Amino acid sequence: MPSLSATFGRGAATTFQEDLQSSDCILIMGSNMAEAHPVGFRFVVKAREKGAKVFHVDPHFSRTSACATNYVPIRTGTDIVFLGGIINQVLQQERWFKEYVLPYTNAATIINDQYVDAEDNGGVFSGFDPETKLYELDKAHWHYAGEPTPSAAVVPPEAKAQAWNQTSAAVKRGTPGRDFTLQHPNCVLNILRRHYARYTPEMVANTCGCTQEQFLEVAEQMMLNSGRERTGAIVYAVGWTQHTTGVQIIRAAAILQLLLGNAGRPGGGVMAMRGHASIQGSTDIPTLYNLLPGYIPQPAKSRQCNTLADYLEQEKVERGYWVNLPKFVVSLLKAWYGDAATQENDWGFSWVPRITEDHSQLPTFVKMAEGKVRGLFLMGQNPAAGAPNARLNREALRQLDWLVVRDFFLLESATFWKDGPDRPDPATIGTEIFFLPAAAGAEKPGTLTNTQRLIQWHDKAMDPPGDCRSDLWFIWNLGRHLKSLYAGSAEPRDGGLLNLTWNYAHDQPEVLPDGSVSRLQDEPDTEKVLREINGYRISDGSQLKAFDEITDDGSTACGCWIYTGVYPEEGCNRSRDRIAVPGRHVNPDWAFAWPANRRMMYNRASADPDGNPWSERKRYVWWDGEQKRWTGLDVPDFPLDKPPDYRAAPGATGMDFIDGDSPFFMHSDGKGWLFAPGGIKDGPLPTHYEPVESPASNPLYEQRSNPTASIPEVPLNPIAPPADPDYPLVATTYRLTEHYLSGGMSRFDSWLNELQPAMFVEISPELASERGVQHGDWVVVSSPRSAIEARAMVTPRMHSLRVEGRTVHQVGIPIHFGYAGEVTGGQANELIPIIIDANVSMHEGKAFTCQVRKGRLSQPSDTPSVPVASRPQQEPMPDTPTQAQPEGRSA
Amino acid sequence: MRTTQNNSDARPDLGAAHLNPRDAYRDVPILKQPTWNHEVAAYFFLGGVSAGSALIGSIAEMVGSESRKELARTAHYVSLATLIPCPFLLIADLGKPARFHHMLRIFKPSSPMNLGSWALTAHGAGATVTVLCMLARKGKLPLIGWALRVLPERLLAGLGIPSSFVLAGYTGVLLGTTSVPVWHDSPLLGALFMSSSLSTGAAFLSFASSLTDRGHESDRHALSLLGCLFSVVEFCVLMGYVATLKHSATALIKGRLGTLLAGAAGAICVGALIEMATLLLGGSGRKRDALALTSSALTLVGGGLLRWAVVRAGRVSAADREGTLNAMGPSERSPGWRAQNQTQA
Amino acid sequence: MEVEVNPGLLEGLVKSEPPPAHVPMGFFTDSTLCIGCKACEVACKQWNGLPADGMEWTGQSYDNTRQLSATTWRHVTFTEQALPQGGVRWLFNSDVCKHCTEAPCRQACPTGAIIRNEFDNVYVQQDICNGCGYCVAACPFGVLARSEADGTAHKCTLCYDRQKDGIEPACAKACPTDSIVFGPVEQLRRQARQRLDEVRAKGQPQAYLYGAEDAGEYKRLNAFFLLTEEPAAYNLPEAPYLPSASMRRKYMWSAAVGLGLSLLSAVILREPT
Repeated sequence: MPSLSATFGRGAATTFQEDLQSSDCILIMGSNMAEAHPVGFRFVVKAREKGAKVFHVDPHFSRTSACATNYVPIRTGTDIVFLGGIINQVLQQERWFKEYVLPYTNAATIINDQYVDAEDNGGVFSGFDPETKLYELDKAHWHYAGEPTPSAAVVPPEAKAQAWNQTSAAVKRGTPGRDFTLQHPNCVLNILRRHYARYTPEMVANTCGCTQEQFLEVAEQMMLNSGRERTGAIVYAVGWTQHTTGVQIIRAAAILQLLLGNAGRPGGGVMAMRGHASIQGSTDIPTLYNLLPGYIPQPAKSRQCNTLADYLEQEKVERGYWVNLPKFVVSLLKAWYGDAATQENDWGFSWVPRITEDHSQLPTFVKMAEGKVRGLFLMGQNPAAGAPNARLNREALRQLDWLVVRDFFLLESATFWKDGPDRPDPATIGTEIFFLPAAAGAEKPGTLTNTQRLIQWHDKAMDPPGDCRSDLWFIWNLGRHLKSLYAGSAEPRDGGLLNLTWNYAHDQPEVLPDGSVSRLQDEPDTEKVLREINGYRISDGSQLKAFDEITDDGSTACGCWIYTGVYPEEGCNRSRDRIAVPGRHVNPDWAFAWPANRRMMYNRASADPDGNPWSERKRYVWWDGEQKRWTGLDVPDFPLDKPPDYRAAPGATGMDFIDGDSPFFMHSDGKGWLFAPGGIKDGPLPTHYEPVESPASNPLYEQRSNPTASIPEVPLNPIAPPADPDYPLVATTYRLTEHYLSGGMSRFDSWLNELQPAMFVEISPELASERGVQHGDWVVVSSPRSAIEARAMVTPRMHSLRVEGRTVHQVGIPIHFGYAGEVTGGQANELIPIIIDANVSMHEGKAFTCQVRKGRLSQPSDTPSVPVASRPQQEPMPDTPTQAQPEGRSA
Repeated sequence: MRTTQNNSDARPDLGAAHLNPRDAYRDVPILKQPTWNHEVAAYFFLGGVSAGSALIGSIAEMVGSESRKELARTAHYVSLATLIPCPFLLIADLGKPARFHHMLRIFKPSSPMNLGSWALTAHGAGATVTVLCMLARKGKLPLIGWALRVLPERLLAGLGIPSSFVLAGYTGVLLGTTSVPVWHDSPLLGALFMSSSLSTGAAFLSFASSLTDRGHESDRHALSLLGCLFSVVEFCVLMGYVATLKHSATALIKGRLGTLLAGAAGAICVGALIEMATLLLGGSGRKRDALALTSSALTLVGGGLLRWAVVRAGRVSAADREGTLNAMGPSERSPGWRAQNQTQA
Repeated sequence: MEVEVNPGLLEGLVKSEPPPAHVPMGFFTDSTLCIGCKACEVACKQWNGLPADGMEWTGQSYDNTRQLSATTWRHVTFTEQALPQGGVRWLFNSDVCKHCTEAPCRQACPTGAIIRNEFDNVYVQQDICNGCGYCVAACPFGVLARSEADGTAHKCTLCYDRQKDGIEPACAKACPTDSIVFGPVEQLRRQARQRLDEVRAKGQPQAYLYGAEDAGEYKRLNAFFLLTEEPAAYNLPEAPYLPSASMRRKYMWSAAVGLGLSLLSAVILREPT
């Protein structure tokens, strides 16, 4: 989430779901929270019952809208217009929170003269190279005045989802020039004013399709619930991220929260709702190709960092918390290579793989489809149904030599060679597929890191059945086999594998909760992995208590610095803690939240510049003048003993540079970035671009869509041109509570399937009437990529909007179906194009164009691949008398 | 699949939505369909005949002179014969037939079905003992006959009357003590089945007498008179039942069931008229016998159709959502919670 | 291990001493807090080992189970309303057995299978029920249903087995927004009245409690609801029948006609004419 790290310093939700109940106004946008995150939505309901306004701004009226106090329909992909409109109102009406904004953000910072805003340049910011379709991030186009021009590329172009120090490094040295009188034309606030001046209520209504009144009500409530006494929160999810402008939409929200003084305060913040179990964990300890654990950049070949010293020099940050980077890197190498990592061999830095190009998912699958990838492991992934342009994905899988699928069921990605809408001929497919059954959550111990950075441990309840094994078992044993295969190799490139610490075997046989010994002999000890992630001292093996104990002299090892503290001493696994104090919503003894068990990040901002709570009502963390310490309900996100009036001495470096009123100390200047001088690849300010596929023109610019978005030009990925009469409808996709993702887990469960047994699309009565479709009819939905059939759910919950003076119909497409499982149906991903955004390689799954007609596809639809379970379980419960058997099993 | 809405009005089809939220579930009944079907209708009919004929027999035994003995005996044979299928029909109707005896696990007169089960059992026992006694008196039960012969017939008849009486009348109350509007909404369903039970009992008796050519002329005349009176009362109560159902009668008087009910009413009515004609014509002979047979048959058919129509109407009524909602609307019975709450507010 | 009675004729006839009475327990389901997630339906099925009802897409908004059944003991209703002024309203409510304090099903049950257990909940003893179907016709809410699979009547047990172990029913446990609250009924009633005042004060004056008090012949429910639309919108009857209330009258009519006709018979059969 580069947008959040570019605004606040760390790329994660700034707050936690429980705290939403402290909010006075919640704006849910780009999220179907009640359906996709019903448990967390509890706190939204609590806030609503306490009197908070809850706005749901969304293309379709969902269960979330039903539970909100106000619903505002908008055309999908116009979120920046809506948010920009609010920013404009805030600035026009001078209702930004001055006491917060001036000290805590870079509003007063002066931007250098080379900067040209998109408003003055036809929709592109200064520094755009039309050849590469990228901005020249190595030139100082968007930098603070007085910043030296970086000597090398701050971020290698092939790296997406960049590391946080690279964001921070955009402000490398000198104290930025500031004008607190806000007279300087190039101070950030004045740039903002000019940039959003055209986002008037008329323009918002005309572009988004809502009414001016609806828009102004949201704006007014957001402004009312700002200031010392009141706060508002913004909640988003993949409804924002899955756009070519996704990162910028989130940036717009973050800017708004800074202007309203809502970041780092109770009831405020930007709550990013993650879409998958532990997806936060999988970016913290990343499955991303260009990050090392803890948001440290993976070395890139293009930057020629042959030695650790080169690398550290390139990644160097002189001010703010990232000065500690060398400690994190050296300790990471010690954790990986153990005794083999020595000062002499550069701590084994040469064994760390260098990235050579964009290895993220979408480009990799495009290459795979071209036959350039030979093998693939799929673990908890289902690209044959669950990735955009599923047809292209299946074509790619068919080009593989081998494929390993580890999952619970034979889902689409394991049966694509015989089933599916392409009706493949198995004889023509050379892919050898290995299906390895996976253990379920209760059959293995481990942690999940949830949407609010909370690391929660779960114990193993029982052994998995048959050959089912945990993913950790698989990786560990695969590693052991590879190590034995490579044993004795003198090749330098094999050093990494051979020296990898892999000592996770159980010391004692594993004992299950019922006291019996596990029948599995070769499962690794998951807690040992967590202990290594937490970090320890090499000398005595004692656990590290906090990340400030991490050193760069090789005396500590740490697998992921931000997780330090989760296992602070022998036998103390804090992720297992489950103490919740009734009546309190900040519970530090309920599991462990990184960093340092802070539930709310940047909470220094919950106190005023002098360190006092902004108000009694909104007290959270404050400076205790007597104890000379920061204290409060949460772990303060600030150096504990740094007084509010601390001012950096000239020439100070590292954290000493951070003033006592700088809550966003992950940034070199300690400020929240209204204007992002770095860290974002498609502009320092969010500006409106139409989705690549859209029936409308860009009301602002000639530059219609995001100039940095790239579209792989392959035959299976055709794109509809703007305002294509063949595809006049706007499609958007979303989840239903009853299913999960592409259905790989849920469509094999009859309890869930009976609740949503068939694929349907939601269309408005007006569109239904135009197409002669009646409620419940079969319809065919087509895009340039493919076509699916579905039942028509005709409902006024889908709105046909007035956009630019004409009617735009939207089609709502749930994402959960596919061709494997107890229930099957057309999958939304057949229709979605692969369009890759510049920041994080995200596709545009939430806004594309389509056509709807009554009828069915010519080829019969897929029939269920497994029978419906008539009874969940027929066998009686063991050790239970007949009378006490569950009633459902009595028959 | 829900049926789609009428597309004719100017507004486009609202699909899953409705202008009136009351209509959201308009295709889903409030009540569950009663599980009872043909077996129960057949039981209601046969049990009614058995109880009715036993009642007539016992009353004849109690009040009649020696010459009524033959009639009483025929009545008890008829009663036992029509009773024999009843337990099997009832058991067949159960979801768990092996547990039929759980009906008598407790004595719970507040449940009409429990009371009826006890009545059926007592009636069955009475009918069996009575018939055995009759056989014993004829010397057909040499082994235990001496024991049965000592039982006074009138005492047996007197003891049997209450159970037969309950059996004749509880079935209608059983249906009436449900939430199915077409059964619930009239107080007269019990009375209807009671009268029908007697009329069909008398008709069956008359039928059996004519067929077997048993019984005195006076008995036949009495039966004719009874049958005629019972049928007239049955017809009147039926009219009263339908009238007191008010709107809930829809399930019974519309459609196929309406035709059936009309058939039942017609059969009962015509049966009674023919009976009346025989009585007026007097005399004897084959012609009168044929008329009596016809009249009895019509009464029996009418009674059977009536049971069948009423039992089936329960399903139709339970499936009628609007009918149920209207029937269970606010009334002097209860204002309903919404109205009550809002007056409090 | 307890000794099990060999299934046979005597099973079900053996009566054991009832456990001592507990404070009445029940549900308060607040539809204004329901988010329509159906977690209650799934939790119920999982705990009670109930099968799915079928894979039919009904088009009934997002409701594909449509009603309570022998194998669906919690059911979330989805009521979509197109507002005359434009816009939509979507109401959710988790329906369940009402656990009536005077329960028609219990009154009707001829075998004594349906009892009030020690928690004052209406409970079908599966080893007693013989599937006569009387409760199915008696229930004015259409809750009880006879299972095709085992022939007996089933409905919400209010997680009797969980309550006996001191834990709340599965649906209440799973409900993310506390729309379903479980607790001592008296306390729930107080809570519901307070909540009703809040909801009314916050702009829904039409809100009401369905079943928290006696209403005419129908007595209060141990599982009651806070609703904001007419009961029919949630597929509930406005003023349910209490069948037993009119039973005496029906018996009287039946007996009167029977007695009259019997007397008539006695007169006619008295002497051979």
